[in-house]
Amino acid sequence: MTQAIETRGLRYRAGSFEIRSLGLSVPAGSIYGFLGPNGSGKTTTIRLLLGMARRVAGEVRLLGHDVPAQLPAALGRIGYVPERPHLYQALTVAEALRFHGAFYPAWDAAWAESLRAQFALAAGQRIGRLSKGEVGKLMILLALAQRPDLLILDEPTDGLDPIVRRDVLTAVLEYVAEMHATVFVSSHLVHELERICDWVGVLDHGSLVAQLPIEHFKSGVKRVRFGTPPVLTNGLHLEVISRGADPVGAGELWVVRNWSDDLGHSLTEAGAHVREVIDLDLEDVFVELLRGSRQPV
Amino acid sequence: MLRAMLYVQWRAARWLLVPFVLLAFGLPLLVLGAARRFALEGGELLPERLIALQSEAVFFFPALAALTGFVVALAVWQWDHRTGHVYALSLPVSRPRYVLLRLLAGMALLAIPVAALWAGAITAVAATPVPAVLHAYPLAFGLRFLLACLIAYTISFAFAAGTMRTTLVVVIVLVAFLSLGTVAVEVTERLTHTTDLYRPIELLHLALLTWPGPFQVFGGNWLLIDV
Repeated sequence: MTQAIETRGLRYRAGSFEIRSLGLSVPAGSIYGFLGPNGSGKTTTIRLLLGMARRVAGEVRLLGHDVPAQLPAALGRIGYVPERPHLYQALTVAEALRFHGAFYPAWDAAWAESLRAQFALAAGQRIGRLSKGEVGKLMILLALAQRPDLLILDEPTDGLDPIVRRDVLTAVLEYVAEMHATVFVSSHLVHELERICDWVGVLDHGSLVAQLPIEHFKSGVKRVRFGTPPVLTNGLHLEVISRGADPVGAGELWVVRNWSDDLGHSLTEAGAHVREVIDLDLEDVFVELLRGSRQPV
Repeated sequence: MLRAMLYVQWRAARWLLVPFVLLAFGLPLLVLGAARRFALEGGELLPERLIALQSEAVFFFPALAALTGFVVALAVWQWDHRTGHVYALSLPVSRPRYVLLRLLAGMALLAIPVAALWAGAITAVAATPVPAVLHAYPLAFGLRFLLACLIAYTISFAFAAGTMRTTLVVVIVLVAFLSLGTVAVEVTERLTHTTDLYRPIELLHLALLTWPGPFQVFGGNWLLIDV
């Protein structure tokens, strides 16, 4: 499978903050959720990908283009929506569309106009006078109407009301379905990503804690309540994310990755007593993963 | 792309340009009108007095050119500075090309105050009966103003395009050159008992304000009617 985004050994440092040897691999055609708590380095990573911040070491390839050597060619195929509004406030919506369109060879003016109507954005309204939701819709509109092969969205729905959020996500998903584009979306709204993503990467303190298809991410990670915990051996393909005393009764509560029914049977045969195996939703997995990465077992 | 950039530049700078356009048009009329009134004696314009009176106000034109260039350069970058350059950096053009587009669009905007000055100069000259021994130079006057505007604009543009750190470095180097250079010259003169060494400020003056220095145009002949 080709990669829409690929980084190798990407490093960045600013004061005490550091991105450490980041190896992102975003399959072409996927919707990749880039999760991480506030301050984990998501926005910095995106800025590094787009050549807006200077890396210390490492390689970046976007849609097969080397960054920064072939950055303009890559940017011509990328729709970017930053975390904070970046548009010229004094322009009207129509002027912003004209200006933006002049830079993109694949700009679809007719579709931009249709999206503008769909998003109920007044052509003559100044961007500085738009509400937060309207600015969010305008940024998505600009990113989509340039017909990108890759959308990089940095917290695109943060602070938007549920209706606008749905409008924005629907427009993105319709585009992806039609064009088979890749989406790289960073967010801390875990439930929102759970509905749309097929890959997920988790960043914490500048390090990639996990990167895998979302079904593996969710299904393999379980909270297991042991009456008698197992003895970990080298032959056991079980990754323990966290473990501690069970707050409900005696025994231990573990959060593990790579869990399967067969593994449960093996542990029981080896003398462990499995009381309960609990499914976790994405947010639980996310929280446990971060907890585990910060306090290694 | 250039057209789009030019339009955005126009939107960013149009209201800022208004006072400069009015001044550029009005200043030649005011200066020459005043000179004409006070140089009139017995129904005739005295050539020497006409030149002397124009010379009194000669400072205003290079000052206006410098200020126009400076303000347009700031206007060129103000929107990008406000957005932390994120939008500019996300556009699919190389950075040198983007800067060139901004530079050219700003230069194109300078044509408006220059045209206003030209129009003002031509109108002022047309309203003045030029004495036989003198000549009017509205074309050269306009060209001089254009050149001064461009020099002020390009230098201000370079500073505005850079970071505050770059500007600070330049200022620190300049101050260090002036102060340390002056001390060095003083010490050398005392030790060698000479008095003919150039001070750093004099060197700067020679290098920048006299031909072929870049600022020579600001100190040149700014008379609309001359011999």
